[in-house]
Amino acid sequence: MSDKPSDLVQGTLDMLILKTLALEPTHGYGISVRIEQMSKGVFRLNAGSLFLAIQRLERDGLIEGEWKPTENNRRAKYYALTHKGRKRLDNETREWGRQVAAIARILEAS
Amino acid sequence: MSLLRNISRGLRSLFRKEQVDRELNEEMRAYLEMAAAEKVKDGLSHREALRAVRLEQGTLEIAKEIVRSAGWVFFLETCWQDLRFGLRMLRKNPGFAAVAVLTLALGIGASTTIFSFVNTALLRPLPYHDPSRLVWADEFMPHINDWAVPNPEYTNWSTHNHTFEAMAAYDEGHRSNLTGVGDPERIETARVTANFLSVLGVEPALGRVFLLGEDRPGGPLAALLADSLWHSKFGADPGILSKSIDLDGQTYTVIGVLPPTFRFPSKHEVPQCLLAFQLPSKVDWAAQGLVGTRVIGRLAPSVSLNQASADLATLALQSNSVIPAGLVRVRDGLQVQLTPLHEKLVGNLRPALLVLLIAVLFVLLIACVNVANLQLVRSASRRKELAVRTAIGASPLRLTQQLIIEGAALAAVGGGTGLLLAAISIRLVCSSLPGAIAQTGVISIDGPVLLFAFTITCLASILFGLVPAFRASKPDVSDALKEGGCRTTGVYAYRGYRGALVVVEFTLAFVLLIGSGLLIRSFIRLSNVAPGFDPTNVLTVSTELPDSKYSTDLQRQTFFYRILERVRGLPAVSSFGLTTQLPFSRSQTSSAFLIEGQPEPPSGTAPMVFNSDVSSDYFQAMRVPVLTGRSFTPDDFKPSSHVIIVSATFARRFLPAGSPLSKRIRLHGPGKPWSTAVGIVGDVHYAGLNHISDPQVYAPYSGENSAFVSLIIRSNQDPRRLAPAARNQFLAVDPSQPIFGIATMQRRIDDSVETPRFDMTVLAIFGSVALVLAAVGIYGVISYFVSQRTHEIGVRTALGAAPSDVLRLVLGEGFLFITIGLPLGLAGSLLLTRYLVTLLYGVRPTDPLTIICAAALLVLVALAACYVPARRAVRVDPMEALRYE
Repeated sequence: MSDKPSDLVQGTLDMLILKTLALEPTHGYGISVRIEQMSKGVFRLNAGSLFLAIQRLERDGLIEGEWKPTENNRRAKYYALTHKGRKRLDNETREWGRQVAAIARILEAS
Repeated sequence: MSLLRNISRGLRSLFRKEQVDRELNEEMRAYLEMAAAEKVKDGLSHREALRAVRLEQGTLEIAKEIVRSAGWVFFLETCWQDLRFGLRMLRKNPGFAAVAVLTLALGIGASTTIFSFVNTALLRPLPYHDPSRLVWADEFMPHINDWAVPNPEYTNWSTHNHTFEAMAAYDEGHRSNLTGVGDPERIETARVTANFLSVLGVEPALGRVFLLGEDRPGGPLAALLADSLWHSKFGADPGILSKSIDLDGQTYTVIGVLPPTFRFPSKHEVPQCLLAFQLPSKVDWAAQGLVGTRVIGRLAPSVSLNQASADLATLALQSNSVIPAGLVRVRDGLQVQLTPLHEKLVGNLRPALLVLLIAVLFVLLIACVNVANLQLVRSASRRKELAVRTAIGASPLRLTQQLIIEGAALAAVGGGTGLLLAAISIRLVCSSLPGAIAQTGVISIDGPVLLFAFTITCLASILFGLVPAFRASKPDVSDALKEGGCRTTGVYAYRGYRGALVVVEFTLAFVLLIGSGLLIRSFIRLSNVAPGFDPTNVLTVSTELPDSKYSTDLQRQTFFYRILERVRGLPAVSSFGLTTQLPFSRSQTSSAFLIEGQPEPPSGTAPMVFNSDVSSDYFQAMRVPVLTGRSFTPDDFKPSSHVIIVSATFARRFLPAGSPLSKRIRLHGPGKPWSTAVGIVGDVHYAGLNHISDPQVYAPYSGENSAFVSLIIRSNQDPRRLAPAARNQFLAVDPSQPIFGIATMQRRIDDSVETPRFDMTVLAIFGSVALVLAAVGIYGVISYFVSQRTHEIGVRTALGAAPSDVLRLVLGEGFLFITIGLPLGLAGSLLLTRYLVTLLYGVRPTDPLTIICAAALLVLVALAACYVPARRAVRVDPMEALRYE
């Protein structure tokens, strides 16, 4: 496995952001740090695509933003999952599991 | 829900752009700071940390741009930018802008004007309740070649049918003398059954409709006034109800006033007053005086036209058992025909209006092609600009968007101006519209017309915006940016497109020219039809004597003899006569006739002939030639003398060839006296110039058959000057007697051809506009061709090409368009002009002379348009052209 950060599988960024926010509401930087940490540095997000995804999710009503002070007394917009977002995450996680299992079966066939 | 949120967020970011931007900025800065803070923890200085983050993330400006350009809001924003840029470009090229906008405005304005006619006459639903269920019921009797529904048939239908909600009968085209209010006046009236308005679903604006008793014979006399009459004669007096008016000497109670929007269901008549149609309530075919009626009905819900038609036909057939035998024979082969009322009222206008609409859309298409051409020329000179945009990162999609929006901006300005032009021209044209169109309603720019203007504007912008946009979407950057690049490839890059556009233009113009040429030829043919009399300097005056005042033949005869005596004394009158039938009247009187020696036909089946009663000097005054025999003499007017004069067509068709004046003729049916034919006169076109002359017989005026009489007065000067004097002679004999129809004979002829003249004028205007636009288009393309090849022409001249060679080079380009366009246009016109057939008189749609003339005119104009730039090419100075290498 290469140690270079790798590109996300198409369409998974939204799911990863939702998952991150399901654990705890946080701001944009927090999301990117957590994704990097949890993926052990495999996925590194670009600010542009991150904010694009955040905007999209907020517009679709899956997450909600709220301006709050940070621990360093700076202002940041904290995002939290909405009810709709939680449902979407459940669906996508299930779907993802099915697909991964299916892909694995195909790849393991000999 | 999410759509709503999407839109509301989008609108928020559109209108509170700064705040949204600020929030995004702040969020990103927070991101940056936090990322930097992390690096500071690893021991970097704050500045180094920021720099490192920026390197990792790329500049946040790009990130912001990515976020911003994602939504539909961004698309709107760039559209707005492009729009402003497009308008700025138009302002900077006022010449291009003016020509393009004017061309478009002309096309869109003309199309909108014609469409507003079509909309009013054909598309607008009739102003009745649920008009789609209204039908017109009619009967055709092949034996007497006549359409009419006798009143017992109507009564039978309306009481026994199973397919109609209700039926009503009416009777149009009556004239009555209205006296007692101001000057005596002759007004148009119609008689309607009591349920007439309720079948149409119309309520009177004031008062009530007729009551059931009022439409029975002997019922009280009641009148419903039209809004126009109420205003003109009664000053819109709201107290008019229950007052009474005098019509033809009888007193009618005014029971109501019709709404101003009311439209009487007739093609020709606009009655000013409705009277109750007094019909017997019982079906009685043996009764005296059966009346022909017009019948309308409202179909019951979900009944088809065919079902209703079968229903009425069955009823008509059943009637035969109760109808007198003579009449049943006439009804042999009777056909019942049901027509949707809308079709009946406006169907005859459709061919002409559709031809005009197609013609004007052709003009619009030519205008669009011209603008597209201009756009192409401009986009050729903008290649560099577009290439620069591509080079600094504009996507082809973005460039296409820009060009389409520029086109839309142009179209919007052109469309707006066009709408303005339409509003003006509708106002100008309205007064000269033929009555048949004007009568269908008020022509205005309403919803459908606006929608039409909007649609054609959008289509136009696509038509002329898309081609350059398509071209620009794949620019060759390096080539365009090279110095002088456009000189080598630019010429040929767009040549195909532009050539195709000019050919399209040429073809359309050719078709339009042939169409208008045909109408012009046809109109000339029509105008040159000899009417059978001399219409110059003739004044006509008509009147109708009411039975109540002039009840005997002698009274009527005396009245007119007194008038004639007075007219004789007027100065400048050279001759005059009297007739019961003016040429070019809407209706003609006819009578059954029988030639002596032929068997008596069954009742009601005798052949008919048009007849009129005239004074002794009528033929002389009209200058109708007496071909055989003699004209009437004063002796012929004695009650004991029975003589008639027949027209040439009558003699040819019905009288023995060798001795036409040997047989006696009987008019007006059995029991009437036999008359001797004493003369044969020339044919007169009574029904209109485009009608063949029908057989006609003339009898001496005795006051017997018609109370309707017209005077014709021939003057040796402008006959209009005689009008006041003529009116005074009538008033002097009877001040309560209204006269009408004061007009010159020439005017009556002109009025009779107003519809063909209108069609011809409009199409001729379109043809000329098309010609001019096509010439401008060809001129534009050829001049561009020359300006792009100045260099090449310079080289050729330097190498010894003669001016004639250069001329041939340029004109050859024009000839190419002509040789492709002519056959295409010919094919197009062969396809389309057959739809003109109903509008043409005496000209076939494939008339070779018209086609040749149109082609010659078009080729001449096209060559002239090529010649100007060709001259410029010849004068190219090789030194000059080569120096700019």
